[in-house]
Amino acid sequence: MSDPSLEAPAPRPDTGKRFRRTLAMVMGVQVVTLVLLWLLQQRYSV
Amino acid sequence: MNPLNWVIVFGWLGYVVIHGIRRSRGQKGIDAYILANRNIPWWAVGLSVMATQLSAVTMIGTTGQGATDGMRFVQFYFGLPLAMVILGVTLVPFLHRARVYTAYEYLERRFDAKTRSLTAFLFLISRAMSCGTILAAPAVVFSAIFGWSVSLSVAVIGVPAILYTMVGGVTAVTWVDVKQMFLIVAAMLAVVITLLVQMPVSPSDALHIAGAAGRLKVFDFSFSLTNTYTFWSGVIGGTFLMMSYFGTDQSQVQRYLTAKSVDEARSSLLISAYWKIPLQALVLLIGVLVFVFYQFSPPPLLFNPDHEHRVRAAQPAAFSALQARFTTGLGARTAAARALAGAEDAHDAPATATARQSLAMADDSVSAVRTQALDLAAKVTGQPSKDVNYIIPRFVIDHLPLGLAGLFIAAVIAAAMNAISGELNSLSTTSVIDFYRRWVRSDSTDEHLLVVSRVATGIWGVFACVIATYAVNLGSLIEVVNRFGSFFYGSILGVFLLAMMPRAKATGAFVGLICGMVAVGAVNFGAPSVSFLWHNVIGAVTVVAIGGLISSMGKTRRAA
Repeated sequence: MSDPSLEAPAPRPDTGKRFRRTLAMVMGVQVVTLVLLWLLQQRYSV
Repeated sequence: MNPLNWVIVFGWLGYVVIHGIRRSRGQKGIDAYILANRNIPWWAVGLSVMATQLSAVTMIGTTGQGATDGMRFVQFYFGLPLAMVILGVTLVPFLHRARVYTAYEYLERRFDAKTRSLTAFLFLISRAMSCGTILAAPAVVFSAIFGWSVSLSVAVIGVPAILYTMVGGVTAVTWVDVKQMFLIVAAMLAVVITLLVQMPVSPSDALHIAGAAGRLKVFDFSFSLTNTYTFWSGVIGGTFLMMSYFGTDQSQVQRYLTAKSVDEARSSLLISAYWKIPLQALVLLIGVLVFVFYQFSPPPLLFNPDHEHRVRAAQPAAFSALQARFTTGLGARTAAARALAGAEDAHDAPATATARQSLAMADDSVSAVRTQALDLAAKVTGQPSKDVNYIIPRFVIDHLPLGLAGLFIAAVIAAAMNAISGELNSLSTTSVIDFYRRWVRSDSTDEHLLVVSRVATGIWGVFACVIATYAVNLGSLIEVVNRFGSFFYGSILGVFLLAMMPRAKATGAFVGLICGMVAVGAVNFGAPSVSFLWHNVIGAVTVVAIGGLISSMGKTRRAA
């Protein structure tokens, strides 16, 4: 695999910030949603 | 329908076509047509990907599923955020950095031409079929509402989308998606508000009624290969399905290839995962609220108006008998729902328990009559009688106030156009880049490829319209779409996973791909009860295992 386009991009110190920030927010929203859905089920289905 | 609703629907159609074409003015060359010169902001890419997923199938099929089956369908999407994270750190950087037009082009650089061509061919088959079924969903609404033929309904929805996609390419597709996303969310919120206003009970009582009828069961932690909607099917099978879809399907890959950098590409992918589970929950909740609404306002025995007319005409006595039993059952169910709401308001625990039990029994009785009516409809019409996709359209026609029906119909069309425009664009790109330029005219000029791409978009558009005309009777459209994809998806994902393994070889990848598809086919036909969500896991794991083994055997032989 000598073609550089086939290799994983080398990490740069200034890249990935937005990705990490977005990742944290996305996961936060998913966790809150799952908790709310769980509460909805527990409150109204039992 | 009131003229105001027509003005809203056709006004919106005209607006998006003009907007799409205007956004792509001055576009020159294939790079601009396919990748927008890699110059689209990450938030727009993310919104566009998200809009593509909110297809008309979601607006009609998923809401209908919420009304009949409750919230448990949301588990299907539990794997999506996880898949996005995995793709963000694995495939996305590889593909974006490779500076390719299609995901399959990368496979030739990494392996060989036959692996590229086979995966591209599989994509073309599965996407073209699913494109047709996605287009068919709103055609159902149109034929049910206006009594138009399915083919005319398909043309009304398909032609505008084909037009702006042909002219504007991915730029038009992305910016129209962004606009339409707002319309779709506004229409869904309008339906929720209408439901809450028109229901004779409080939102809390409505949820109690839905819960008593089993519509608010979200989580099922049982482990079953045959049940699609469980927590584990969603997390494991769903992760593989979403990884396959977003990581290897050109209709999605092409979107994030338009982003300016790797960081923006994977951020856009995450943005699309942002509201997926909450939005799906909202869509299902709309269906659940429609179910509650019909506790107090009598629903039709058959939601498909065409089937209703035909059964009435062919079997009037049987239909009348069923209708009488249905009306009696509905009366008992309404009484039980009112009793439950009253008991909840009075905080009377014993009365609440009794009313919940009565409501569950009455609902079972109503469902049993409906099942018999659906069986009768199937016998009379000779068509599948599952009418889940007609529930919301009938509600919209019968109960939405002036203007809002037009808004909802415009949103359904918008959702369909979002989904098919992206797919037509990717079908055209794959046909031109992976087949025409690769095998027919490798020395084509940029201008020539642009013309061929536009022609290919038009041809795929017509093909999708033809498929759509015959797809309306295939049962629940959601499952149909996912079934088409899952037959190949897992195996193609396996090839891309192999591509990231430095020791994997071309022969291993190709043989592994064939074995993966054979394995999925064997499971599909040998054990049809296994849920299609697990097909992706089986396909991907088989390709990686067999492909990895063959690649390492080749190396061992050479070493020996």
